[in-house]
Amino acid sequence: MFGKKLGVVAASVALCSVVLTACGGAEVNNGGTQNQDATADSKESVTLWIFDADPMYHAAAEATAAEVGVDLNYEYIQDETYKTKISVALAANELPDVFQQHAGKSYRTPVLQSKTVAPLNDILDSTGLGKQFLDNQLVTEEDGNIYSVPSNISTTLVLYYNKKLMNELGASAPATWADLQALIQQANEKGIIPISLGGKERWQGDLLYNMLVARQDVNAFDHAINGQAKFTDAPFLDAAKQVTDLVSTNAFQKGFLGSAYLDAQELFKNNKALMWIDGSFNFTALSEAMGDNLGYIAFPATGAEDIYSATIGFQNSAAPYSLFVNNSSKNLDKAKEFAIRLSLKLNDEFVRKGLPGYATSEVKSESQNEQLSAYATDIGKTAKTQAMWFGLLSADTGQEYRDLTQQLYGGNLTAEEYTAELETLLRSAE
Amino acid sequence: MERALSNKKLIALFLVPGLTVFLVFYFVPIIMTAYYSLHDWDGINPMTFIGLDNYTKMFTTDKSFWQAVWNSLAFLLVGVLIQLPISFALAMLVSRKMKGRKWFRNIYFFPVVMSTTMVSLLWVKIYDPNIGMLNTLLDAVHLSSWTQAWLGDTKTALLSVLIVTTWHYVGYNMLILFAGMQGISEQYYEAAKLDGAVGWKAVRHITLPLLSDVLRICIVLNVIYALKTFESVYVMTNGGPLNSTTMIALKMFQEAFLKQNFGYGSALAVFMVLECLIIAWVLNKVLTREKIEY
Repeated sequence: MFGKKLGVVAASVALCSVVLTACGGAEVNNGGTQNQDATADSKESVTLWIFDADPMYHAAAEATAAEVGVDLNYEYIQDETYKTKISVALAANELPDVFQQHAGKSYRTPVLQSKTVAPLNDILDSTGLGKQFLDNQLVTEEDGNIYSVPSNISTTLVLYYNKKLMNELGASAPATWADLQALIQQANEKGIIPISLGGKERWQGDLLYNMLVARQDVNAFDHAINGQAKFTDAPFLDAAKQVTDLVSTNAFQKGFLGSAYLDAQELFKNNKALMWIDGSFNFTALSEAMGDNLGYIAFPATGAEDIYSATIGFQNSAAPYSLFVNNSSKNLDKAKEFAIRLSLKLNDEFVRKGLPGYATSEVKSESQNEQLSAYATDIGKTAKTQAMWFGLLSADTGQEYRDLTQQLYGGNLTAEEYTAELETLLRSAE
Repeated sequence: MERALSNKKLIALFLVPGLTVFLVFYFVPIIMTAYYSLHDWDGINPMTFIGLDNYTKMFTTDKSFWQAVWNSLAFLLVGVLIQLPISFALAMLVSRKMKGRKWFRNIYFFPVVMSTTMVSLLWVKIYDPNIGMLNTLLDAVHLSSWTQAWLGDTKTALLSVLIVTTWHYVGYNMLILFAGMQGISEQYYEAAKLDGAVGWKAVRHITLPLLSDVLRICIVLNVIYALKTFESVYVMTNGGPLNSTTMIALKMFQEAFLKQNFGYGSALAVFMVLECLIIAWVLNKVLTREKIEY
């Protein structure tokens, strides 16, 4: 009997202890927070989220933090994970002080609509740093404010090739659709993967299709999206047929629909695949990994247009790769200055590599490798940069568009069925 | 003491903390999710009430929803009809008094302690059709015709994922069943032996009936796990190729966080909760039987 009573008393005491400890803990924690604030007052800190794997970003961020006089909490998050993490952070209002965002309407619009980002006009003006950005490189939104600064130069879709494998085949980089088909056949006969493609994330296949359409007719997408033409018209249909041709002639590695982007890239870097379709942002990383073995060409003339008629850009002027500042940041002004100065420092790094920057820079271009020089020349000659379609669509339409294109690559849809569904999907998204 | 325990107010007082935690962290989110499911909402802008439109879309126009339901059922069936019998056989094996049985037990259980992400990444490499171990092995033993684009082909992707989840969790069920077998007194087997019930007969008439409660728990756990599967599919295939491995949980994630259709994602979440509750309830009803005592 006494034991049971003791048990109830003990349980009550334990419960009270838990409650009181919690209260006490809160008090201690509050005190702790105050202390932290006191420490933070001595040197403010800025948290930065970046999805770009290039070590240049970390180095530039550290240098900028020292320049601005803040402690930097740098967090690199793998690209695909980042897309989810930033969506959740936006919805939950749990953003870091400064964060990078992908290019394209589907990524930029939610950030602006969330009303969680701060206008940068005041600091751009007061520091005079705004004047360093070239014309039209700072996006002014409808309310007249500038909410972001660039975090990357304009990058485009290019075709890389493995020189060693190309030499083994005794072939040269393809210049036309016929060349490409012949090269695919030649590579297959030798047991070499012609084109490595990461189908799991879907974007590489999507961009290849964009490029094939642009090679058919440089203005096809613009005309169709504006209602002056249809997505079932010849350029779209012919490009879709080219995709099915590529699949049926085993242009891509076995099981490419299940291959992750990085796994597919490894095949190219490790001399298993002859060609690799990717962004120009990968020049540095691929050059470091492959050295002189890396080859580059502007995408072949697979249709009526020549190779300098257009290229596919990863960003558009209204929605570039950007740095945003959280308007709830405890050190808002410092965070804004940090973001602006980081953007300019990154620009210096691009200029140093010999690439066209988005701001004025006193940095001189260092010697660049042969491939990067060729790319810079080609870009200079290219008449139009067509923004990737995905970047011009809303998040849900963009994802559905990529799902649809995946079905074309997977053989679930014929070219005719695909373009018909494309017309329905993109027309309803207008 | 007895007076204290019969005091309903005091009992209620003791229940308050637990109940509060349950309400705040379990019940309220479920209600909120159900509420969101009746709206068109991107997670940022104001919600628009659309009634049952999300559910109508789910059941009528969303083709990949039914694919996801079918895939969940495939996971469920494999979990119950294949994984559980294998676990049972392994539990029988390691409960035998043989040399090294502890070692075997640990080996079979080892995959369970590995994280799902790690296991999935490991198998992605094994399955890789171009540089993976599985196809290389098949080539080495002159079975090149058996090589496949395991995770890249709609015909083999689901099966490939199912093999991994079976391999990963078979040890978990084995351990539960093994613990149950240890609770069966040796006397029953000795008595049965005198009546000539050895081998499969002993399993059929002694082990299985006395393990029925444990088996029921294993079945319910397997079913709930199957219906909630997410990580393994997300890492290995991301639901592809062409939705051939998509699951309700993955679809919910994609709708809410990639397409920013929080309303529709919430409707999928509600469906998943109801699906789990109904199937678990039915299983409990079907599998509940009188306790057997010898």
